[in-house]
Amino acid sequence: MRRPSIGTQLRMCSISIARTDAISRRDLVRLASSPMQVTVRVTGGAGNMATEEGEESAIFLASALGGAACEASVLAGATTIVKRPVPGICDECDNARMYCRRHAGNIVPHPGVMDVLSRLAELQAPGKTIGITPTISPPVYWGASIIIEDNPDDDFYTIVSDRTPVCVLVQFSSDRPGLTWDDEWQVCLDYMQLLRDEGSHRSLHLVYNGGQTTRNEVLHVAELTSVDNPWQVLLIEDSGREATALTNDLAWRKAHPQVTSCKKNELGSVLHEMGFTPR
Amino acid sequence: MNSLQISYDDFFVPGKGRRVTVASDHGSNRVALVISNTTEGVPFSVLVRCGGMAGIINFAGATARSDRREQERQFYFFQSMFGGNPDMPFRTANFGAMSGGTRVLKSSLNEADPTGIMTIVEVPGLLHRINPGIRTLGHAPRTAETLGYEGDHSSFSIADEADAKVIANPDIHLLWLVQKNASDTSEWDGDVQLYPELMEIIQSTGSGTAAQVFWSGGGVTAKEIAVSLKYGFPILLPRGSGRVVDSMVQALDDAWHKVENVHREALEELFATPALTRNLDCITVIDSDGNGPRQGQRWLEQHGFAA
Repeated sequence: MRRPSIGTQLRMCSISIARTDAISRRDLVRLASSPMQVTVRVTGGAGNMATEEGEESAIFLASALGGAACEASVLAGATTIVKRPVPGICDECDNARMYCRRHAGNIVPHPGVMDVLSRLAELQAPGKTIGITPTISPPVYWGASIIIEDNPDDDFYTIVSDRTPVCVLVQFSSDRPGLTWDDEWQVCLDYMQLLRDEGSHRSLHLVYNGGQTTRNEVLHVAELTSVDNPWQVLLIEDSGREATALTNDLAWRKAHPQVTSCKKNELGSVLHEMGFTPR
Repeated sequence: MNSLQISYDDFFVPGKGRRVTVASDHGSNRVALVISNTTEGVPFSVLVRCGGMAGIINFAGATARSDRREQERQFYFFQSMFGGNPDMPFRTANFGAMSGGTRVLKSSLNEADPTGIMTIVEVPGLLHRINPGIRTLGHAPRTAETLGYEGDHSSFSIADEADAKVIANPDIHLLWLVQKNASDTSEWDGDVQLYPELMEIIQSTGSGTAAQVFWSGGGVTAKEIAVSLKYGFPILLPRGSGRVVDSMVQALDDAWHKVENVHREALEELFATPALTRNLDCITVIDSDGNGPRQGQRWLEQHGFAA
């Protein structure tokens, strides 16, 4: 009997030879097994969102994608942002400014749009998901978490999420692990390209809030051309920051007709009309 | 029950070397062709097309030409086992059916009657005809120095043996050719280490079981049995189908004196390898005639290939 899966299955991939080295073959098959031949990349804000807004965005996006009935392949980041512990818990926590093993249970994840994956997993949606995580600094296993970014100037640090079913942890090589957040969306594009070319998937970049990295991604995807299967982009107009800024950049919008936008309260019906949720 | 019953001559229409076009259009009627080097692993393009299948069965064994009686016996055995015989009703799940992906012709493509004949590689196409929900794949080593069009460019020839022409099987969805590299051809066992990786990947995604069905066969088939045992795939051996399958069944019965000399060395090596013999209980032996197809149906049910 197959044992129920526990935690997050980690795939370690180096992209030093070719970008496609970050493709996990078994997860490619999983994504291609989603009931609908559509792939949705969810991208946008995390660290700079208020807690309530982050929580709301993940629930809202999972629901708009069909919730328990989501049949799409969904790609997003697979990280959790953790607020640093308040001083005084214990010496170990104070010295590291991160939760030690004994106090790892005190971690309160700071939610963001990437939590859409854990929400869909909780709902046991039939659509398959994969989380992509670049190692920003050399990954460290400490305090029951794998830490992939720890900038002392920030009041948060970033760990690999233990609530997504599968996380592809991408590094340049074992000797030079560090990547940038832009590598996350580039690896997502590699998966999406294969699913589009070989699995006849239609694709959508769903953009909620977001900062400079999200902007880089959207500007890049908007330039991709395809005669019969456009790289569709949907901006959530009232989600804030770059999603809103790009929505209002009318000259850029005019030059990129495959980029559309809608308000939060329209998202569910728009995704349905676009054919990314079940009929 | 799967409804369609097909006669041998309806399947292999005399004089028809059917068109095989090199293409990669998903969902079209053409055979998609993927060529990869052995060092590359299983190509992404092959994997994506395997998504969503309820398990996979590889059919391996004899591709040598036999007489018409034996060809028909094999044809109707598999037709009955997979629900194409109203007297043995059975409904299959929509799984992936895989084989060597070639078609052996009765004569050269340039001669008057380039008709295919029944060998194990035809089983996926036959099953797709019985249940159109079954997806079909072929895997073959590139053994010919050059690949080429033959017979007024009507078919794609992938090997040329002394007494037979081999073309890409026109009744499959995708043919995956494996070569050492662009300059070097492979031996006939060039894909034997690689296609089980594809089966293992499909099985590990939780899509269903990966299993092997053998029918007769020679030295390459013996290697395939060993590789399947290494992975622990369920294996079905129809007793009486011939050659290495019968030798394997005799070895399992400890009747080594009956094992054909030509297979003895390979099987002795297999039975001397603990990593293989500890998986011998993956093997199910059934009859190749009479009640064999019914026994095969029970095996299909046991491993999740029934609807």
